Amino acid sequence: MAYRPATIEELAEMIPDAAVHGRSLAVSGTGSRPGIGPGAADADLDLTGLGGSIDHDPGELLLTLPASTPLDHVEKLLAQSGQCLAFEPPSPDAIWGLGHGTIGGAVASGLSGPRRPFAGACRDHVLGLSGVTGRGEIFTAGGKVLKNVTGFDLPRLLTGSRGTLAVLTQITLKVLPLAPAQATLLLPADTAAKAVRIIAHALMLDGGITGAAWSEGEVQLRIESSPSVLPALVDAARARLPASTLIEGDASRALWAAIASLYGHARADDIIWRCPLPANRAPALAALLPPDARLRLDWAGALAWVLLPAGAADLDVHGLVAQAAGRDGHAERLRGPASAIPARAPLEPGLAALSARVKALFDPAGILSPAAAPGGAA
Amino acid sequence: MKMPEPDATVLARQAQIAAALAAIVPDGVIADAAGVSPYGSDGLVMYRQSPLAVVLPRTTEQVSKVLAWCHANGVKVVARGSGTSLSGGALPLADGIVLGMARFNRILSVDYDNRCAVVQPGVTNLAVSQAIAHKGFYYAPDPSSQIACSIGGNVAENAGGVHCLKYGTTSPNLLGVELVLMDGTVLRLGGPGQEQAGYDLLGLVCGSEGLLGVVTEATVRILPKPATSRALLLGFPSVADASDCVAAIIAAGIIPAGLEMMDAPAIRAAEDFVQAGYPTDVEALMIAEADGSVAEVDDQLARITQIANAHNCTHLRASTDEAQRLLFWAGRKAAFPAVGRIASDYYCVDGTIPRRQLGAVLGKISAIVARHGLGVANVFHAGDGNLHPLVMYDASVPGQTEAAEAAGAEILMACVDAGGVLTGEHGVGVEKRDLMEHQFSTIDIEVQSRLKCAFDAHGLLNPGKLFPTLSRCAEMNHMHVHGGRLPFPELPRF
Repeated sequence: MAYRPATIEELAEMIPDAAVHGRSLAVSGTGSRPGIGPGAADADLDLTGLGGSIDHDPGELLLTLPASTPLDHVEKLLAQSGQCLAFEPPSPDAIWGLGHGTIGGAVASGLSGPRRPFAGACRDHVLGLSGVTGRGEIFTAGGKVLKNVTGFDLPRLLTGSRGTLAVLTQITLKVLPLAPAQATLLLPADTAAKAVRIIAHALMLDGGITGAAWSEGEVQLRIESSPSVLPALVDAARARLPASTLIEGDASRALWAAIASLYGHARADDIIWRCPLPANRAPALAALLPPDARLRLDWAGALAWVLLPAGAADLDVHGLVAQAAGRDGHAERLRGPASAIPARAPLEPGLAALSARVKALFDPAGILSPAAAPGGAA
Repeated sequence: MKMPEPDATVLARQAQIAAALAAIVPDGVIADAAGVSPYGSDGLVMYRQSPLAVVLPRTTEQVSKVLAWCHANGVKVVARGSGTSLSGGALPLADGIVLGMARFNRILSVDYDNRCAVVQPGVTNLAVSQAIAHKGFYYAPDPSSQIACSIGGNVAENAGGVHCLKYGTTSPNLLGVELVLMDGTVLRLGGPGQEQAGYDLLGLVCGSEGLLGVVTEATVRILPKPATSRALLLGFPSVADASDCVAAIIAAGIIPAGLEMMDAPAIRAAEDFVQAGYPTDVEALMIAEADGSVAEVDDQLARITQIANAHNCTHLRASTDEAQRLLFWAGRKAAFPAVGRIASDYYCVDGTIPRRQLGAVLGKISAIVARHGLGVANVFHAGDGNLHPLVMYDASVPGQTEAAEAAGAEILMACVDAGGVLTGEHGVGVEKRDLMEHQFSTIDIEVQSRLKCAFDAHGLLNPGKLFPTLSRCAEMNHMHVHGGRLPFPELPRF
């Protein structure tokens, strides 16, 4: 069965109704991120019917919008004013092929794109939000200003909480100017170790670097600025780095859209693992991977994408990341067939217990996307 | 300011409590009246309360044992870094101990490859930058109190500074913490990587004002120092011109490293104090700073100059060397003590507003302060809308302290009414606690404050701060949906 609220008030009645009937809910927008979505539940909570107006205030660097707003619509809207979501939310389309999803889904999944080390993560750009808790309470948190420390930071807690604590209905984001010009340097690097060294060296350059990735034997280094300054930055970088090829303008933009979302990287039946870890541990992970695995690095080396052929469903990537980075890294399978290896490794016990207590305070009946709760269902 | 009623049975056990804690931290318990007195207040000097005892642990294990003992024995705990909070975050409780973290004063490791440093919470903000300067790195958040304030306090308050618009407050620059819960549990949240697994508990803990746990170690992000930093000093005939100029800079797609504003009383006080070369015949002064490569900085400053000229800028100077840039900043960074020279006492207020409301809110501030018979000087983090009116008063004149407090509260309510918030960087503490309901609904506050039950179910860590009331955690496992009725209408206020 499915709940499909048309208003927030309806939503706030449906949640307690589901709780009373002991019915768990799969909280979702357009269902574009099945690999990290709500998982199995007794009923669907379909949020696409919850509309509302969009308030973009370019001068205040603020955007307030309903959670159900399509992500590609947000990006087009901002581009009209020369602005962007600086955390570069990856489109889920290349991974799951179910469209670009909603801004609510982007915030609930909390994923950040290539600009994460340079401009901050998704959680750093969510200034305020409204939603409904698992108790059916309509609430607002954060604010509609750039700098705010009033009260507990629920916007950060709820970003990336995957619909397991509250159902998001409205979001206020910090938006930033989109650099009008960009170029990418391509530098040969046949191993992850070389790539990480080149990137570390490049990051000591002081010149508008907003992306540093590695794939197919090549480091990609993005430089963004105003059109009058960009040539000087590119020249300065090339003078201090090994020989490189230059890509400019729209070709550079297309390259980074692909890096952010794995377009053209993942094959149709690849198993996809996403592994944040300290950049200097990426070479150790590379050394542990079997020959048929393909590795891509983003976030200046601090995000490893491991692409495995369909036959490698039983490779314990959690174990490999733990071996390479100890407690400082973790792994999640975003796509792949069911396997004895869980998509996420259990949290350390103290953290799991605390996470379960947090979940229970928002959602005492444990009905909001329980299968996706990081500490396990309460 | 009403604090929770002290527990008489705890007060009666003072000697016994001090002795039990001294068994855990043998050389680190102060329990005599003269010894605890220096801990009686923080940067919000209007309030003073001596604690039951002061405990100065050296290790995480000691912190864990002290908290576990206090948890088991119903003793409240207020953690304290350097005691520079401007909102009373470290104000002691009569029936609680102060857990002073000053002995946690070491930088444990610096990892230049992964651009992070692991530091103990008692290390001062500036000491982090100083320790890594020889490698060309620095720690970006720079609260004005950075020579004194501690990293632990910065984490507790999510402290800001004058470069937040571009570099963020503490939270985006914090990668991990070791956290001790009230029951003694030691947890690690985050680490040297760029993302933690599970809920963003690190984000929740940062800025939680000492209510959720005690930080015993912090992993902070460090950055290479920009090749160049240069500043413009811009004078305007009116606050409205300066404010329009700020809006135009942002609208042009420029995010300066710093964008500060001062009004005429603040300009004159600062100039008299440090002789920074500020023009004293303008109504608003702006410092706009650009950093990065020489090409980027030159480009940004040229564009800002052009915009300023189109907004009636009457005074414009660009720093030509580092000494001059620092002199431009010296006046702004000394604005608080400068106002302290012309008024016997001043009260620093901290609210954020949408920038376009600046003119209207400054008008309201003047009216509020005048109504209370007081004076005001304004400094303003113009880029992100964070206002700091400095309300001038004389504590030796009966009634003026209360008038300053009342004016501060009215100013903050005016900020909220203009679409803003109660605090941009100083925290709620005791100072703004009873104003929370002006910004948030009862349900909004309940959704936040009940999180304390997951971390500190007995409400022993820094109670009386941040929230007007605390939830009864024992009842939290049930649903409380009664058609929008108050969850606990019968609960008394502190």
